[in-house]
Amino acid sequence: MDTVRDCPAEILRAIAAKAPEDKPLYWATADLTSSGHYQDGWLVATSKVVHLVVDGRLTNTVERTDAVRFEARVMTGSGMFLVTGSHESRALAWFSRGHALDHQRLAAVLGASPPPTTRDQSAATDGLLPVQRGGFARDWVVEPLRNPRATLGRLLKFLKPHSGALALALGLFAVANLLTLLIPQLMRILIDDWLVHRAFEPVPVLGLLGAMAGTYILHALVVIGRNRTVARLSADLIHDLRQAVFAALQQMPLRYIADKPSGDVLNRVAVDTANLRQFLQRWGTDGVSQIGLFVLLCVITFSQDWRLALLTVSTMPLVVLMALAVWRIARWMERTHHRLHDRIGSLVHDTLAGIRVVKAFRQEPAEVARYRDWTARKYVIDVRNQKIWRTMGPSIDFGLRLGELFVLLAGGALVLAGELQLGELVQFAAYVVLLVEPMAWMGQMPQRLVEALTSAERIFEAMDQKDDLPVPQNPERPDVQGRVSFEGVGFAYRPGEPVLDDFTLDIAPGEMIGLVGASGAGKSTVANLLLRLYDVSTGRITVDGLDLRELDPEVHRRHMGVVLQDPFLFSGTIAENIGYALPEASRADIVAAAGIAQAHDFITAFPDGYDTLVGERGQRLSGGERQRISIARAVLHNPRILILDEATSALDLETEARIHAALAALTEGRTVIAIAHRLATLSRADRLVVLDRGRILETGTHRELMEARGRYWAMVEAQRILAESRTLSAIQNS
Amino acid sequence: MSAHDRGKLSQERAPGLALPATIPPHDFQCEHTLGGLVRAVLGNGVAIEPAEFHRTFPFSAPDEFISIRDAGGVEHGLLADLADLPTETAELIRQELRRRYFAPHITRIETLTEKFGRSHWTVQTDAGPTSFEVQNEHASLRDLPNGMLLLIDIHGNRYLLPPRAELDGRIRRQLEAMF
Repeated sequence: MDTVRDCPAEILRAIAAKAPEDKPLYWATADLTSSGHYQDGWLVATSKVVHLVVDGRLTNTVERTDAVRFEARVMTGSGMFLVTGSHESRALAWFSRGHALDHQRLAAVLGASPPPTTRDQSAATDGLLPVQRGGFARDWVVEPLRNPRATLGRLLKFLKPHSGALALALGLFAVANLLTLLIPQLMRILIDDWLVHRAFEPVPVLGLLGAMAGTYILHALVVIGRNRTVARLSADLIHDLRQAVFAALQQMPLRYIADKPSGDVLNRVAVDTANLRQFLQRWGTDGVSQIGLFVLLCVITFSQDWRLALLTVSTMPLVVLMALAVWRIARWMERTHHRLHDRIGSLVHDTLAGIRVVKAFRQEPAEVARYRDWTARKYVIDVRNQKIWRTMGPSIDFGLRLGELFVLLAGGALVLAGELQLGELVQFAAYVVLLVEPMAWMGQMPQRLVEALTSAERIFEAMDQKDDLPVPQNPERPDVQGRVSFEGVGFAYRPGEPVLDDFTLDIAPGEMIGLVGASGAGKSTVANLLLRLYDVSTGRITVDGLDLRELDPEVHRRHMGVVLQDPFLFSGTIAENIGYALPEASRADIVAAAGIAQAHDFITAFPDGYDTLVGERGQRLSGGERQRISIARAVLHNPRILILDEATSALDLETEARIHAALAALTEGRTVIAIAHRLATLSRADRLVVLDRGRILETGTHRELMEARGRYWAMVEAQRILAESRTLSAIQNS
Repeated sequence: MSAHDRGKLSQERAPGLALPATIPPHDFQCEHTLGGLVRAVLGNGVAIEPAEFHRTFPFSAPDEFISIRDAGGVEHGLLADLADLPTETAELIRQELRRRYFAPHITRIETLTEKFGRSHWTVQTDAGPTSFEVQNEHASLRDLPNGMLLLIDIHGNRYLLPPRAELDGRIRRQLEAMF
């Protein structure tokens, strides 16, 4: 039931039959009519033509040589496949949003080159969809449905290192069960052999009582041991699982983290592992024991008196039905409860993170009202949930006790008829009571299992997100000189929304490039791609002539340094933050780096010097101070290639001047890509590159671009006028 | 429109100076081209082909503040309200918008099953029958200002559901538990 389907074979066959030498090469669904209704349509491209097939009939055909350009326009909810001829553009087909990627690939294949030569054609007839030909990074959303059995198996693998403790726990469970079963047995002997006959001999009777007391004591000891083992086991397990998840988190591709709400990934570490722990602790080990107990009890009761046993079980269908009915209602309420709980949690998180904005705009009452709305919804659900449980719990219990009553009724009759000993009846009744627990337990088991598996799924899904950036078998580990080349690079964070398009740029070792352009022009994307936080969609990036994808990412990033607009400082001391990338750095190194970054003076002015604790996100430091610490971090890292992403945009003029001095020391002799809005900060760049919507508009030195009077000139003029008017108004105001 | 015009336009709209211009209804005409696209003519004689229409408030005011853009995405003005335009013109634009913001109304839910964090839907819509999969997380279902619900499937397709109060009780409970 997926929306991505393959083109029906009969359509391809029909097209192939029409022109045997011109086989279908690529296709994409054209599932919308021009008025926006669903249809069964396909765009099929051969080496010469593009066909539109609707309901199995050929409705339109375009010669590929007639078209100047093929283009897939992606809109909010749909898209259009556009063919531009020599005179005008024509909408050839429409498709729903989900097929955007197919159509973009189709357009790229059709538009990129003249119709493929015969050799290409044979390579292209392997029956693959353009989608399957790769190039774009795998989209995590469209993975096939996961397999619950495989998940369970994977979960059980985590138990393996603890098999000793597990065996011990199960053994203790078995012993506890046997001891539980022993008590009614002793009771029967006491009643049938002694009490019924009103006989009393102190030694055997007291001995029996002593045995019972001993059993109880032993049982208590075994249960204590069992509980301790289980607690230890589940804590160990969850510790392993948390470690695994956190390690996986660090490996996660940015694409995956950026796609999720911020609380979501956190939840997977905290909530889902806690869910699993609860399951493993309360249900996993207990489960095996309960099933064992149930089987044992059944064997004993049925072998003792099958009629009575049958009678006991007779009320079970009623109980099971009641339980099922409750589960159906309870399940959605419990899930709703969890959803609302998550929502309320993220609301609190949001409000606290933005507390300065809330207070500045005096929105405290509005936030309180918003919170009240959500908690009110949760309150309604909670009350209903509790009411159902408080009503149904006793009802189910009653159903189970009914079985007990039946047993007493029928068993009493049998005793009166002399077919059954009184002690046997008492023993039987005791077993029936014991039966209740495993049966109630088994009713809940499927639900618990599904919940646990869902949590496991979520954890494993997060853990599996690491092959986004493939690493070659024997990666190159060269010494980097710092020549960087972008060759026809294209990239899209989301399919259908390209951010970079045919970006080509050659940067010499030691050259400083200034990237200029409006917000959203793709400047930061260039930096992200060079850091290989993402892989390019088309084209390639080389460092010293080697494709980034051939390099060991570890080594590559060691040669890269970044200074960001809002540098992130981890909670810890200033020294720890400077030495973050190089933990083995000596104190002298750190002080030297801080000196180069113009940070030494203000750091030593703090009462705690380099051991000053920075608050979370470095809130105790000013923007300029944080910036200089991050520059010191980059200095210590000593990269060959340096990226300055808006490194000075948030600072006042005096601080900026200091940071310029720091940056000048840092950029000396390195390949630098500097991104800036404020053009003055790029005055030292060897070359400027003006980006516009993912394409290079102009390239040249400051002087060349000013003389060209293009976009760069316009931007400089605009900033100059703005600066002048500010100065003017400042003078007038003073 | 030539590259020179566009350059001029973007210069006029330098940062800080741009105020979206509202186009008076009588200064505006549009028609379909032979290729199935739209050609729009503004009062100042500027012709845009192909012209694109964008909603600025797709959910809260779908017929108001319609932005007219050229193929490069540059805005040429805003139409305050489609109701002010002649009927045929308004209908043409509505059809374009309906397709751009394609999100069929789900009229009946045939089956709705759930498995491991994803729901499978088989539905009747005003655009015809279809089936799709939704990742069951909060971002997949959005409450719109008019009470309707916007459902987004794993491929980014959008569907509209009637307001919660009009839904069948069982479906409503399923939705509450899933999203």
